[in-house]
Amino acid sequence: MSNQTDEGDPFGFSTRNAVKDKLRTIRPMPAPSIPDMARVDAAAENAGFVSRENVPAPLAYTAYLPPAAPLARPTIAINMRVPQDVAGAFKRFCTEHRYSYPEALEEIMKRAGLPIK
Amino acid sequence: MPIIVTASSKGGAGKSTMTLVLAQALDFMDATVTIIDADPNRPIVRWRSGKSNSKVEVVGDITESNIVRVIREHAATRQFVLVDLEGTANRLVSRAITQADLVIIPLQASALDSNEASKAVALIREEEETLEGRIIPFRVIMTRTNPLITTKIEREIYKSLDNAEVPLMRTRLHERQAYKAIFVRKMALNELDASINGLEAAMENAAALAEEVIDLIAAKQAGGKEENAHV
Repeated sequence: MSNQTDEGDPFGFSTRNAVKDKLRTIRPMPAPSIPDMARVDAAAENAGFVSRENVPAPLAYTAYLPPAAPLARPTIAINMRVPQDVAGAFKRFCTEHRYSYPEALEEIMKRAGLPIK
Repeated sequence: MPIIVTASSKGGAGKSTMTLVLAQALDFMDATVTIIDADPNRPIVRWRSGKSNSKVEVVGDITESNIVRVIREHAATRQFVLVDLEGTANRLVSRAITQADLVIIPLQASALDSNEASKAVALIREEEETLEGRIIPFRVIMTRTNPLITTKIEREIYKSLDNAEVPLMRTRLHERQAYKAIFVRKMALNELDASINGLEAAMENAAALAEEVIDLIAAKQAGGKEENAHV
């Protein structure tokens, strides 16, 4: 971060001075107009950039819920990364209907008319 | 103006370090600089709370609803406004980018970082399409590099960036003790104890970064229009 002139140039030209000249041409000025943020937000969502503010928190449990009975059928684990808003909606659905995640998935598939067996 | 936004949806890519090092180098050249710290962890707000005599101004408490207004207010009075963002894919990033004269995407030489950097590039291209004709200049910068060698993975990433026509900065931000020390001691590079290993080289690296940014911005301004997608 040296601010001295280049001493290596025998003719006295200085790249540091050239940078300073360019720096002097850069001045504060108003930013360009504000675009339609709703369109920008929609484009950002397409690229996976979503709001992290005002995301509704899952509803708090108001009463003790006994653990769900274990499923009698064979099980496998499914790990997923899902959009934050979809995950929030899914958790609310589980909370409101007192479903575990596997029960909720099964219920949603039933409601969508998808065959399970 | 100019407004320089540092974006990557991955934490630890070097956004805050790159932003603070660039700001300090520009300040050392007597430019007026504001950093808008939009990272909820507030690393640069914390740096500013130290005893440094640096003239870099830092603004925190940024939300999705005020980020554009705050950027514009400072752009009207300061030569450089640098925006440091959280390492996640969120709306603060996309809104800040709408105001940018240059987006810098820090990238460490790893596949994980490359994938996240590619998301930032995709976002810029998506926004360019939405803003119909507005070109958002951007550059990828390699961070935490070894000044002595270019690793095989780095070379592979360069090739991949070249194939995808993603522009890369000439300057690489090297791994330097001094860049960690500015956060720990809350000082500017030129205020650090000279005993810090590689301090002079770190300052030269920071100056090279600032000079390249000035070149890019001056060239853009001299053109008078956003003629080139990627400066």
